[in-house]
Amino acid sequence: MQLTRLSELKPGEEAIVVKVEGGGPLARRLADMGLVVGAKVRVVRVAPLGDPMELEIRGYNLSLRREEARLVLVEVISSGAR
Amino acid sequence: MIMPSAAVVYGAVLGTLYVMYGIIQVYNGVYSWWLGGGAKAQLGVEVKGAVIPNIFPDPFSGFALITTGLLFLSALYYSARDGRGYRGYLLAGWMLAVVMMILNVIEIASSMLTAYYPVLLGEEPETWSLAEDPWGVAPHMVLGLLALPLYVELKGMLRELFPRRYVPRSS
Amino acid sequence: MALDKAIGAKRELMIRVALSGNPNVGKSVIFNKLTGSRQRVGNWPGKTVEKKEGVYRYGEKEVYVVDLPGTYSLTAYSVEERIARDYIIREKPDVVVDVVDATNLERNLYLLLQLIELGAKVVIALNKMDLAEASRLRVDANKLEEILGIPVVATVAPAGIGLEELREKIVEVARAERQKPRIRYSRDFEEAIAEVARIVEAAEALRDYNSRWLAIKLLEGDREVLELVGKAPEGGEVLRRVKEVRGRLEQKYGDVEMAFISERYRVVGEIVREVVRGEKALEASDALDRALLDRYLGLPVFISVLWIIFQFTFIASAPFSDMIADFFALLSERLVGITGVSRLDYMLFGDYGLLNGVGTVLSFVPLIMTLYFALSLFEDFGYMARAAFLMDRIMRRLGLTGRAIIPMILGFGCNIAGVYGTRTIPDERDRIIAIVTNPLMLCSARLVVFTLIAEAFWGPAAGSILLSLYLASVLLAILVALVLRRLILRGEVSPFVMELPPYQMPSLRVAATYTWLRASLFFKKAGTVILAGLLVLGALATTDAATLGFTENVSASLAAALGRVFKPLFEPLGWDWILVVSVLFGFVAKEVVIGTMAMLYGVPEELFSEFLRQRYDPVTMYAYMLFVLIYIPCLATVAAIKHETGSWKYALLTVAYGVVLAYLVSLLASVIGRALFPGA
Repeated sequence: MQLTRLSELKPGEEAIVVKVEGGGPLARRLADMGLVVGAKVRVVRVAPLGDPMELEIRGYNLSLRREEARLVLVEVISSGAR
Repeated sequence: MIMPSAAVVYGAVLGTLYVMYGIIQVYNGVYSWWLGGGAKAQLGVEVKGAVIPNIFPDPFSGFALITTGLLFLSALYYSARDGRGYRGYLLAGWMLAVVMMILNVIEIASSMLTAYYPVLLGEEPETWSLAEDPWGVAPHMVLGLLALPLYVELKGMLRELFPRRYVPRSS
Repeated sequence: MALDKAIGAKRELMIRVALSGNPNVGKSVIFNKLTGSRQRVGNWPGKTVEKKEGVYRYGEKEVYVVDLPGTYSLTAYSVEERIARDYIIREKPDVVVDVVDATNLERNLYLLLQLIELGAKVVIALNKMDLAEASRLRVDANKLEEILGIPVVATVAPAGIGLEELREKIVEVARAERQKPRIRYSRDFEEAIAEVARIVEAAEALRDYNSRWLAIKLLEGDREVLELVGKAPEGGEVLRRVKEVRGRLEQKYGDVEMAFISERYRVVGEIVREVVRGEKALEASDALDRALLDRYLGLPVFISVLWIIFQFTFIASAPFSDMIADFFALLSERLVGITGVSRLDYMLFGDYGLLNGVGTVLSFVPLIMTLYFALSLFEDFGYMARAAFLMDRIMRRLGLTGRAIIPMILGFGCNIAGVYGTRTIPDERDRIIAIVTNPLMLCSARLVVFTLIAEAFWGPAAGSILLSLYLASVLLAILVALVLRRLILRGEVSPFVMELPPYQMPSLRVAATYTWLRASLFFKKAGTVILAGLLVLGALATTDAATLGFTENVSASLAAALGRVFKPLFEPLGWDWILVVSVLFGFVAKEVVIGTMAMLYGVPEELFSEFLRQRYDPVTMYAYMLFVLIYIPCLATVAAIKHETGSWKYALLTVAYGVVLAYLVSLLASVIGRALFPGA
């Protein structure tokens, strides 16, 4: 299983969450928002200045800083046809 | 290269006008605010002492006009490039155009109110005329009006964003 | 007043409802529709989070509604969540109305599950049904009710659809003894919960709480609950036994807290599969985002929007502000002499009198109203989230959060507006930093003072001098923000996890109601402080220092005496007593600085510039301007800070650091200036 960090994904890519590292309030917050093991995530875009990233998850759009996205390990399932 | 629709072309022409007037306004603004005043370029018709549209000096206003113009021009770009992805730009440009038009109307109403309210306090009103109004009929109003027809093209998107009557299916 | 009495009425006489739900679900619209004009806005005690409460009548009953802060979850990790869950646990409302966004069911149901865990009696308002339909989602409200065992009312809040049924259900559920929602987690979890629940129930001191909820929280390792249980007499024993049960779960599932979250989402997923048909298609919203968040145009659009808001706020409010100020000035003029007692007359109707003071306070109100109105519209529309998204990276570097950019910009127009504009910043610490640094923004009142001085001393180069002051303003704000973040408000960094909701039609009604409430609140709270300040100042300026009688000669007044007393402090800066007194009076409103100076010199404002040039040197005046820029914000701003932060602590902090920083910077500028320009 090829694992990457959520922060490395490019716009259009889709992935499944494998693990949320770190524990503590940040990991809890991410999980509360739906980033749990098995959840499907799609990167919509990145902000003009490179940070944060916009993700689509469970039918809504979420904004996440790259340093927060780093905690999420994912498996890429599609690179999004463009 | 895909042939853009009439709406997009219309938008692009409008966009060019926005950029043009925007640049002139920035020029006027920079001169007036920071380089000691003086030069005030205009590009319109004179009506009863006022110029329409009145390019009042304000670099930030000009910036907003340029930005709106660029949105319209982007619609042309994306439309020509691959025929998709342009609608958002058209909508965004249109929304800014309409909002700025409304802003212009509010400004005139506000100026008039400032001039005439002394009457309420039993005093002499100040004079107000379109020619002396800080904004007057600015590019925001003129170009905004010109942008209105694009509503026809954008109706669908607006309906989706702001849905109308909902009838509950079952109760 | 009547509303306060109604809200404070006895519990037994009312049905008490709490509104909960995720942010952006339309909670405020439902709140407004239910309570109409019978609502009031304030802060949760001691917090910066807004509290809205109201009442409405249903048949013979009065129903009290409190709008809990929008939250995604009910953990102990954020102020809003703690407020929401504390309310439900402590106040035990009769009904909790969970407003659920039909277009976002999974995440919304996640919160619902936690409400059920709390043991609250819930009615679900399944809102935004129109948007669901527009985005081709079919959500079966009846099926949802069937599965959950909880009443579900389909609503479209802005159109009022479903609200009558909602009111009915509220009363129905309030009357019912208890609710039996059909939510069960998988066996391992349920067994663990049951076991811990038994342990907890055996403890006398914990009887007051819902045992199931305590059980789940203890297993999750919730900070607040652990503390709470630990304090109880049998606490230690309970915790020890819970640890065992937890350990077993941990062996099988790893991090128990995460496991519970996953479990909830698993249950949610099952429900959603049964209840929702179709895939959400939000083409228009996505398309708009393409443009508004465009790599090159995104920031320019943001700047343009700021300009629009700025212009709208000042243009639309200006005539009304002028009208109000003029009206009161006129009234003052007409009424002078009416009491026959010259002291009283001056105090009431003089230039620094009460009536003029009221006028000054009221003249701020139109500005605040238009500002709030515009912000509410853009926030409702969904744009503000995009703005924060765009600016976050820059703001992070400066120790601020993306959301802080709006209030900072607003502060350039008026600090009061800036302080109130921090409302939309979710994290309390970030909000406080934004509030406390806002007064450093060079507001338009200060600009009035600076323009006059700059033109007097630097003529054509005045523009550059002003620009340097603006730069100083921004740099200092950044500096203070960084320092505050490091020193005082250090702590866990709050994640920037933020939803980017689909664009939607902003509700004029919500904006208008909200605007009205905030403005009248400002008038009542900030207004009294300002009036008091004006009265004091007026008294000082008209009391003769020697005789303590009335005098119209300000030079002989107590205020002047004060100035002379403080003058030695300002010797190093090269100020005379007039500058000192002007700065003192500037506390009330910055424009007053010029007026005071003119009055004290006895020079008409037209000849003022010439006079200044002769009496002072450029270096001293530049340092003076820096002082005026940095030292305490005007009284109204201080009042706004107190109001927004819910305590005097931060208002006083702002005043303290302001004065100290102002003195230091001014001194520094003086010293450097004299070294660089000895002949000036």
